[in-house]
Order: sequence, then structure tokens, then C-alpha cells
Amino acid sequence: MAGSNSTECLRLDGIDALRKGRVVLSDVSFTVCNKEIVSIIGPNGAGKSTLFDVITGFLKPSAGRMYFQGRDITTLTPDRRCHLGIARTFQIARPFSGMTAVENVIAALIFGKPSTKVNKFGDPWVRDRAMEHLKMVGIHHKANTPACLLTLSEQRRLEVARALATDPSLLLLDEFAAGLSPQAIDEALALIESLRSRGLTLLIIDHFLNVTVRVSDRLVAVDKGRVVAEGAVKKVLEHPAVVSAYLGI
Amino acid sequence: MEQFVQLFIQSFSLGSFYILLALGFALVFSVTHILNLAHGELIILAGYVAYVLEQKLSMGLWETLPIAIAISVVSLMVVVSFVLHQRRLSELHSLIITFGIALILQNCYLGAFSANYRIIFHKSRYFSLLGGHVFISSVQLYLITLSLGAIGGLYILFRKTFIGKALRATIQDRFAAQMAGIPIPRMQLLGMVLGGIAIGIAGPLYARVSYLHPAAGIEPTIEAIILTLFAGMGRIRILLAGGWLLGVAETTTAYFLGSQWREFVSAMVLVVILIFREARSRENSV
Amino acid sequence: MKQEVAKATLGVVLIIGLSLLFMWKFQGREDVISVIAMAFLFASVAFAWNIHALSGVVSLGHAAFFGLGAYGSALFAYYFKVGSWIILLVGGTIALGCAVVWHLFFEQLRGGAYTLATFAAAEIVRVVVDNWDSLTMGSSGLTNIVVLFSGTSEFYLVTMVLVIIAFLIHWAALKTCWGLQLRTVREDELAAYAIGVNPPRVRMVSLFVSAFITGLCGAIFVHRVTYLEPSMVFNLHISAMPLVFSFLGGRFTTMGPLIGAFLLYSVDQILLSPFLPSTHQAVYGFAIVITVSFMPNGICAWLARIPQNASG
Repeated sequence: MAGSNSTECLRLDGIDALRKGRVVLSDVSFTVCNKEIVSIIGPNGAGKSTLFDVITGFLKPSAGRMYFQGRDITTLTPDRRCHLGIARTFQIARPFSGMTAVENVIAALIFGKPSTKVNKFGDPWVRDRAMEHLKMVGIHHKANTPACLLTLSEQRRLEVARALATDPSLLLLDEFAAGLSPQAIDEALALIESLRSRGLTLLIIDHFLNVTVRVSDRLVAVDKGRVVAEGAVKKVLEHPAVVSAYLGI
Repeated sequence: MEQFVQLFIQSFSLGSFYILLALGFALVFSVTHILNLAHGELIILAGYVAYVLEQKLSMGLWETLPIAIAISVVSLMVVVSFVLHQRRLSELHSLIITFGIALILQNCYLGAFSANYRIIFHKSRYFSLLGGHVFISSVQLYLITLSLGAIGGLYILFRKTFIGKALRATIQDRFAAQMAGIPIPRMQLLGMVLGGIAIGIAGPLYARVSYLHPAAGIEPTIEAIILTLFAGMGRIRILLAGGWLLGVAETTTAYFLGSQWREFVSAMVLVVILIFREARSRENSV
Repeated sequence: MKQEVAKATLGVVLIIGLSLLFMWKFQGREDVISVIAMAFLFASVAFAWNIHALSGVVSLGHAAFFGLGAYGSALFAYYFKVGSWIILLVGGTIALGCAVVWHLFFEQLRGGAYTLATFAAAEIVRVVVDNWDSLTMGSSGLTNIVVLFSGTSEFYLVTMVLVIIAFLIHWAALKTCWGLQLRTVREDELAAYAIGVNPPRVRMVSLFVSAFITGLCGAIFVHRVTYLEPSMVFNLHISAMPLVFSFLGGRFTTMGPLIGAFLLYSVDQILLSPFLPSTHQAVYGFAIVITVSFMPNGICAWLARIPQNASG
């Protein structure tokens, strides 16, 4: 498409996806603008994580196209998308368990962007940068702990630090608030706001509506693989389809 | 026409043979999730035992079978128990350990019997069918009857006895079986015994149709793995179909290309199955 | 990083030093020198195997590369009447060709399935080479193979250089940026993808490097023994040795495969072979079973644990 919208960060056009022959996403289309915080909401099994898998390249769509900052990324592999500036966390944290927390982040710093890998490897500066990222999420005191020994919450935060280390412009957070205490949630929300002020665009999945609505600009409601509502927070939350999806009526 | 029937008999008996080879492996795998790469070597062990008994002590097939079965059951139990008692048990782990055991066994055979090719010489009696144009040998009859007998026995066990049902439950879902009060170790023991019996029957037959030598175990192992993977866990009927299909594939290959290429076909089939399974479970994922 | 480079240099110096020491100490004992040279050769195969294993998979079929390197080199020299050292590279290249086929077909497989496939693949290669009589002389074997090494001493030096090269490449696969890439793929493929690493490509490179070096070793092997038949190179022991040496010596240490090779190969050839001429190779089977059961991280890690256990 000529003359791409310079404020458009991510655009999905008619995305269909299948898993083992079952339709998991159907005609999904929406847009995310730069520096927006958009939350994907919906009941269990609606297809939210699948949507993330499609956006980050872990699942190939059977139809439709995706654009990132005007560029067609539909057929790109996940590592290429990471290089372009899309980063994600996983619903169940996937740290490199045998590596320490700081090593996890260092790996992301080195491989997150394709250039100058080898130079970065030997550079002491890289370790300092990694520590900064750990500090940002509050686990710098566990820098030298093997990732498998971190608590679940710390592993989640490590995921965020690692994703940020790849220098993304779009960050996908998958169920970041599940299992967190109210205080931890407040800290996480503060972190999200600070990320926005750094120029990041954020796409968040959260199961618990009362958390994400506090920080989101817009909501996209998904149910049974389809987008059922989209727009301002209040409007979407009051949409009958959304209400029935959550309450099952 | 007669050639067709002859090929059919050959395929059927070869297929029955493969089924017999695979049964032991499949039973052990279903119940314990262990991939026993030393499976073929255990069959060869039974074969060597039969060879010694028949050639040196002039015993008949029906006398050697019980002894071969007993030895196979014991040796299989030793191998499987050892693997089961590992701290870290994964499919990969069991592959490597049984690989090591296979090596050990191969060298024992080398030491005991040297690298010479051995076979049980028997005067095959041929029975003619279709007015004398098609022949079936006594060995082929043994193969067909014994493997069908083994399968029939398993069928009765699985479907008609209580212990067989318990075993099926363990194969399908170990956790649920445990919840239902089924003692898993005892089921595993049963699996080992049944597997050992299958091996003990296969060995003496193997020694009649094929040459025994220290490295001979690889081929039966590959055949067994092919059929087990093809059939999936505990699906005996598919195992039967797969066995006979494989028999057809290899017999036709041997007919057109010569029998040395048989192993090539079986190894290729294994590779194809592995790739197919992976492709099916991966679909659109990265 | 500079520290690691220094350690690598020290390692090389150590190898050279010890080699020269052995050469001086055992001069005149051709049989011992020959065994040590072969230990170097198989240590190189172990280094090569481990480079592939570092990408997170276990191969039980490296005999395919070894044998193809041997046959490729010997047959190339035979058919094209070439007698120079370039035939060694031909051997490596043919093994590399096999690796390309492996990658095409096995790229999607993981874990136990991959290992099984490698096991079957070695068998496929063996049967093809064994039966394609018109090309490879099959079981009758090849004789009068070009002799490249004029004497045991030259062979010894060649294998010493070979093991140093293999050691350095293996070191790189552990300690450099490439090593970190391999590690991320080994630990978690999906996470590696998410941070910008391409696991299929990483695994492909490690497989290709591994296959080429192994093929090279096979070529060097055949031009030393000057006689070749399929069962010499396409057997389970050749596939087992690099696995055993790497597990025994330590799969994640720079010197591990070399230590494993020296320990076990020497024990096998010098201590066991004279007494158990036909069964001595069973020791590899035992080594696999014992190492993988009780010391999966190798002997060094196992020894390091003892003081802790003692103090309770």
C-alpha cells in the first residue's frame, strides 16, 4: 500500500489461523497506532495468545496479511520480526533456565538486532546495559542467579527485561498480571506507563479486566477467534457481545 | 497369477514375521515409554540360543521355544528394569542407554560366536497349493501360525481378561490407571513378560530365515521401531496392517531389486514415518 | 572474553607440549605412537560430534559422515588418480553433502525422533555403500588405497594438527558469540526465536561443520590403514565413540571430548585389546551406560561433586 500511515504501528487484515485443522482465528482485523497501549481482552480460549503467536511469527496464518510500520511481515520468521522491532513475553515464562538472569538479558542485547553481534559479545558495556534492564524491572539483585531458580514473578519480570533488551518499538505482553499481588500489579502498571513515555507501543493480553483498563487507550475484544468489539475502553466494556462473552449469556 | 500368489504368501509370512518382531518392542514401549534400541540384540540372543540348542544339541523347534522364551523374558526384564531405575528418564535417555547395551551385547556375541554368519539348517518341507504351482515352506507356516497365535493370544488377553484390561488402561493413560488403583510396576512387569515371550518366539524363527551375526540386531530393531511408530501406542490392529504392508513393500523390493536392498527400504520407511509424524503434529507452527 | 582466548591458547600449547612429550618418551615404540595418533583422530571426531550436540540434539549416526569421508576420499583418489592431500577435503565435502540431505529431511525433528532418524540414516548409508558394488566394491573392500602418510611419525603430527584445529573450532562453539547462539537454541528454541536467533540456521551450521570435520577424519583414517570395507567405518562403534568420549569427558567443557577420548581409547587399545581380542569394544557400551546413568555431565563434574557430598 502506497503512502503508509506514519502513525500506524501494526495492522492486521483479515487474519485466519488454524491449529490442527481447527479454526482458532477468523477474519481478525485491527490497527494499533504508535505509542498506543491496546489491550486484547476475552474469555479463556478466545484466541488471545494465538493472536500473539501469529503477530510474532510463531504461527502462520492461513489467510490475511500483517503490516508492521507499513511493511508486510506476514511471511517473516520470528527472529526477523524481532530484528524489525517486535518483542514479546510468553504466557508461561520461558527463560533460558541454565543461564543466569543477566546472561539471559545479555543474549537478548546481542542477538536482538542483527548488526555487530560479534563486537557486542566481547564488550563490557553490554553487561552494564543488561544490569540497567534488570534494574528497570526490579530484579538486579538476582542478576547472577540461574533463571531456573528465580520465583515465578521474577521470571516474568526477567521475560520483560529480556524482551526490552532487544530494543523493540512494539512490545507484546502476554498475561503479565496473572498471579501478581495488588502491589506488584501497581508496580507493573507504573512500568508500563514508563515504557510508553519511552516511545514504545504496547499490546497487552490480560484476563482480568480491572487491571488493564486502568492503563489502556483502547481495547480489542476477542471471542471464539473473532473480534467482537473494538475502540474506547468504556465503549467496549459495555458492548453487549463482550458482556455476554464474559458472563456466558 | 501363480507368481502373484507366491509373492502374496511371501509378503504375508514376512509381514507376520515383522509383526512378531515388533510386538515385543511395542509392548515394552507402550507400557514403559522406553525405546529399546537393544531390542534386536535380544532377538539375536534368542536366535543364538536356539542355534546352539538345535545345531549342537539336536533339539527340535518346539523344545527350544520354551527355553528361548525363558531366557528372553529374563534378559528383557534385566534391561528394562535397569533403564526404569534411572534418575532421569526420557525417550532420548532410554535411546542412548539401550544403545550402549546393544553395543555390549554385540561384543559379547562377537566374543562367543565370532563374526561368522550362522543359520539353523533345516530341511524345509514344502507344501504345494493351487495344483502344484505355488509353494509354502514349513518355516513360513510356522511364522504365520506363531505370529497369528501370538496376536490371537494378546487379543484374548486384552479383551477378555481382567488383567488385560488393566494393562490396556495403563497403556492409554498411566495416571488415570494409577488413580483407578492399578499397580503400575506390576503392569510394567507384565509388559516385560509379554514382550519377552514375543522376543523368545521371534528369535528361533529369525535364526531359520536369516543369518545370525553380531551386528544382525540392527535390522530387527529398525523393523520393530517402524511398526511401533506407525501403529501408535497399543493399537494392535494397525500394527497388523502395518506389518503386512511392510511385508509387501519389502518383498516387492526384493523381487525387483534383489534382497540386499531390503534393509534400505526399511530404514527409509522409518525415516519417512518419523518425518510424517512430526509434520502432522507441527502443522503451521514454526 | 580475553580470558577465554588465553585459556584456549593455553590449551593448544598444552596439547602440543604433551604430544611432543609422548613422541619423545615413546620414540621407537611405534605401536604406542600409533595408538595415541588414533586417539587424536577419534578425539577430533568427538569434538566434531559435540559441536553438533551443542545445538541441542544427540546424533547416533555420525558413522555415516565418517564412512562417507573415508569412501569418498578413497574412491576419488582411485577414479581420478589423484594422490595429493586434496582428496582429504573431497572426503569432507562428500560427508558435508550427506549432511545437507540430513538437514533437508530431519530439520523438523527433535529429541528422540531426531536421534532415531540419525540411527536409521547411518544404516541407510551403510546399506547403499555396501550394495552399490559397481561403485564402491561393496563388501569385497578396497585395497591399495593411496598412502598419504610416510610413516607413523608423520601420521602422528598430522593427527596432532587435526585435533588442535578441531579443539579450536569446538572451543569457539562453546565460548564465542557463536557459542552463545548455540546455547540459546539448546536451552529453549522458541525463546531463542523471540530474541532474534534463527534456530534452524544455527543447527544447520553446527551440523555442517560437524559433518565436514568428521568426514575429514574418516578420510585421514582410510589413508592410514589403506584398506577399507563397509563394516570398518559404518558400524555402531564409530557412531558410539564420539558420543561416549564427549559424555565421559564433559559435553560442556572445552577439553572434555579430548580427555574422554584419551581415557577410554587408550584403555581400550592398550589395556583391554590384548586380553579380550574380540570383545574389548564392549567397553564403549559400558562407558555409555555408566556415564549416562551416573555421570551425565561427565567425569570432571562428577569429581567436583564428591567433596560436597562428603561434607554432607
